[in-house]
Amino acid sequence: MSVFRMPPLVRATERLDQELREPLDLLALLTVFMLVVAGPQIWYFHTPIVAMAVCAMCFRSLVRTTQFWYLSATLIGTVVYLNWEGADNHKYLICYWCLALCCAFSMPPKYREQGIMTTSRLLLALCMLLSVAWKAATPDYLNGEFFHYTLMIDERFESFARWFGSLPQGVVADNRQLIGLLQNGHLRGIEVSSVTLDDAGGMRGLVGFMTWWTILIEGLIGLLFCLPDRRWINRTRNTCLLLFATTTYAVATVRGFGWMLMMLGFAQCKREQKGFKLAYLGTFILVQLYALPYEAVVNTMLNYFESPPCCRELVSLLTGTFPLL
Amino acid sequence: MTASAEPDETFRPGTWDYYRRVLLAPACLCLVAGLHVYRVNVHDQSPWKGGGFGMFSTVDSPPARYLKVYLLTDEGEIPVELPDRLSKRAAELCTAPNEEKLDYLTEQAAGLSWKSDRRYWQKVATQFNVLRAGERPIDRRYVEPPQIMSVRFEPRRPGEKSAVVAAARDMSLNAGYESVTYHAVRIELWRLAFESDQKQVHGTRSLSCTKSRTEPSE
Repeated sequence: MSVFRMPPLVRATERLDQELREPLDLLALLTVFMLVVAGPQIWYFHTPIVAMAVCAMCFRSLVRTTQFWYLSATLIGTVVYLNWEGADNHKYLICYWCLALCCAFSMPPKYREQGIMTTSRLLLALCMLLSVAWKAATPDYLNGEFFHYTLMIDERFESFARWFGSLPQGVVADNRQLIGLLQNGHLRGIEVSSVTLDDAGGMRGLVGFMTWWTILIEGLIGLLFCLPDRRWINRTRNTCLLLFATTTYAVATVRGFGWMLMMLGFAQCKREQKGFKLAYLGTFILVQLYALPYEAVVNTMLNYFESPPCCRELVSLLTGTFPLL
Repeated sequence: MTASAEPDETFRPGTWDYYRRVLLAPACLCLVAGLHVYRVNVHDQSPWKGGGFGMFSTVDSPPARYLKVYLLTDEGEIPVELPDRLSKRAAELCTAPNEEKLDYLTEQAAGLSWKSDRRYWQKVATQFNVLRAGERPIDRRYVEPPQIMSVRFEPRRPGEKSAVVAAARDMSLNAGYESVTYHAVRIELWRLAFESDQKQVHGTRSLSCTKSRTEPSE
């Protein structure tokens, strides 16, 4: 059957099937996308990377070249080196990943997939084990102080703390203002050296759960990716990594790190593990969906239905408090 | 056939060429992470920054380390913020603090001209006089100097920027401001510590440096 006579859905499925069997092209394109969207926004990185992405879109073979990834790794490495004081850890990971792609494309095609699988597995294991090691070595993490503090003041965790920790609305903003008072409030004659935060007293259980769940899942993933390749180990580690991403990035919406982990997960899958590859791609999209401001949208809709604008205007006209006046 | 197959074989899994390509990125990760561990233990670098994957492990993140900057004047201390051109140095100091960095930053701040927003103080003086003299606002020039002084460096709420800022290099941007006379600059590095039981956050000063005013460099 001619390709042109195939229904579009079938064609798309076959194309996806092809991409899943030979994933390096897809990984390279996803990486270019991530570099443009989640890479550093500094002009000396962003301008060349956008230009390179445009070239890559026009000439697909460009993303299969060693030079392309060498240049990308050099650019992001330079940004990280020059801005070390603010560079997040996933920027380092993106740099290592570009280097891994550079090395993979410098090998003959038949060994590339095997090479990138091994590298991805090692990168995943190392970043998880290091993350657990830091947590295990830090007393204020183990005694729950870190998550207790974070849930009370970090805006990224606010919705989660409100839903699962019964934190009343506005408490995070109030706590942040108190911290602000310590940091940059200057009151003549008054030396503010400590403030007491509010958590409405219902977060102990949640803090304990988050502390130990994070250690457990990250440690497990780190260990499983170090173990030799067995069927059950392979399944368990992929399941754990997907579970980690779907739960963690729903709470802490760190898109760049989530995307990077999903790409590493996708890259270390074997040729026949199409299900896991699709799941990693799905979670890659999910990480972005998590970052949408659902609560704000729901609140806006609720407010709208409670009192639509036309009603508000009518009420204010009747009561003589029309906002324009 | 043999000639084209031979180069491929040097990259076969198990060979040196294969392993050095596969292990290069993980080796870089280990190297940077090792350096980070060293810097955290020896140079007090924050575990959050530096490529060691210590994020979300401690309260001691870079935002929990902050600077307080004061201009020392004859009328007292004026809390100010560092200008944007020193923000990178300030961030470096907070991420991995040491005395040399603090000295350098204080020296740079002491070499700046600082200016006060006249319009801001006019507004403050006007509000002050509205409160004092009923509903009739009066201009700043009619306000007695002691009254201005009394409101000049009054409380600043969190998040509010200081009305005293570093003068711009482009002198045309300094119109509408008056120069602030100061004799020294003090920068303090503070850290937040959290006590979970009491739910209390303490600010502790860990470093401090004072430098006399130097002539602004062109």
